[in-house]
Amino acid sequence: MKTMIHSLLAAALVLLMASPAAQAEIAVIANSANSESSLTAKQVKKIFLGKKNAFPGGGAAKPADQGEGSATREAFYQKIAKKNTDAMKSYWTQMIFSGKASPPEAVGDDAAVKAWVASNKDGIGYVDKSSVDGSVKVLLILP
Amino acid sequence: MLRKITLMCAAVALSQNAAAVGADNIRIHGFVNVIGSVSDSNTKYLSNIDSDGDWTGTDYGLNVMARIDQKLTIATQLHGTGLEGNRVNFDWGFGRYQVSDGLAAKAGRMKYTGNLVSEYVDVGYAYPWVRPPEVIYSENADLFFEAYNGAAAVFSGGNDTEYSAELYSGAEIEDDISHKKMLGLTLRAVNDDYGEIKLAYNRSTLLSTTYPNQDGKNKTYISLGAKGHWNQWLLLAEYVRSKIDGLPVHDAYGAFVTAGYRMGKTMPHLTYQKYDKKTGANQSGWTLGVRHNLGSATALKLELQRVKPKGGGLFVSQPVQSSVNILNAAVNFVF
Repeated sequence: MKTMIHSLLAAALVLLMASPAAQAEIAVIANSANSESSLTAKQVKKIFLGKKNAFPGGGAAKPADQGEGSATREAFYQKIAKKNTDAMKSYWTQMIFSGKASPPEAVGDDAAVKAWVASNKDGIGYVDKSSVDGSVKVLLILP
Repeated sequence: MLRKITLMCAAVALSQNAAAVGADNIRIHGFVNVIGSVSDSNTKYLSNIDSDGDWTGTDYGLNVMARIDQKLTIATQLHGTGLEGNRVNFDWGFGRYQVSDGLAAKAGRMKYTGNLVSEYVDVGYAYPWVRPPEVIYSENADLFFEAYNGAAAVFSGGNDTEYSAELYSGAEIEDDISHKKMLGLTLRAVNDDYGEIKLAYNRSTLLSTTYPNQDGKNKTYISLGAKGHWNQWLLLAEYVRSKIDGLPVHDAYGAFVTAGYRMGKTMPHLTYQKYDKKTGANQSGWTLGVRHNLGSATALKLELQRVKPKGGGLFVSQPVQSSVNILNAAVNFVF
């Protein structure tokens, strides 16, 4: 019986660790020419929720989303705003149709966001930490 | 006339800047609401709903937002209704200039900001009900106006909880009664984790040949609204009062409370609403509804509503029954 419980616990742990949305670290990335050295989660949240369109240093900030349905996108908004996909949709519906702001452009997966940020000097995006390479600058790691 | 000038300004600004802005800085969104209602009364509720069924609440909109540069944004919205002639109107269109971190200036035709959902009142996907509580948001209640032509200064600050004060002035021209010399203030506190509170004051001078007794009188709206969300719970509540100086018979208020409980993509909700006007027209009622999100851009809604009017309430006249049952259904799309 004890062995069975241990086996079930081990299986549950493996399943939990295999869930990228729950466990993966997310890197917030910017163009390598960006003058910021780092951002806080609150600063990132304001940019991605359309409340700021500039970096703290004053440079224009243009955020890019991952595609709808992406596990990284779901995890990112849970981490920075505690909002799931439906809550974010509701938030943006209110922001758009009151003329306040538009959501970030949905660019695609990790590779697409990384390429977009690398080619946009004002760009800021987020990718799975394991996807980061020298083409972009990491401003924040979300655990 | 003011509306035409505003639209022309917005159109010229957009066209002149189109090349400089670039297609990636122009975003187009839209919404469609398909709304059907039927009651067990022959007396029309909100001008259109009776036992024959009604689909005139169906409407649609197209929204264009252009970010000209880091400080200037221009946005406009077209709105078509299911009313006679399937009219399409420019709902609003305004420019917003971010003067500094804590100050923005807006000018054009703008949505009224004073009520809890007034800025997106036409977009069904944005709220839980088939239509926002009619004791405040229906034309019949006369406790709210959708938009105005004018200018506003928005002061904002805060961090986890954001505060803003929007001071505005303008006018709203309507066929039967217009608001001139409008002056208003909307105070707002928003916390993304917990919700928001709004307090608003609006004062204007009425201009009307249709209602000569109101011509030249000052009208005041005061509203207080709150929205809260804790775990799966959603709570919305609002109170709006209006009065016309020297005409106490027009004093009126509307209020509602809604509680909803999110269960994944489905949210059952319950609303109590009350309306009272000194003329003797008043009503109260309950609405039990459910919203279900289908995919990422569609909401299905179903509601059972019971309204108890006196002196006609928001009906065209007092129904024969003491209470009227209404079935509401809607499909809302956004893109």
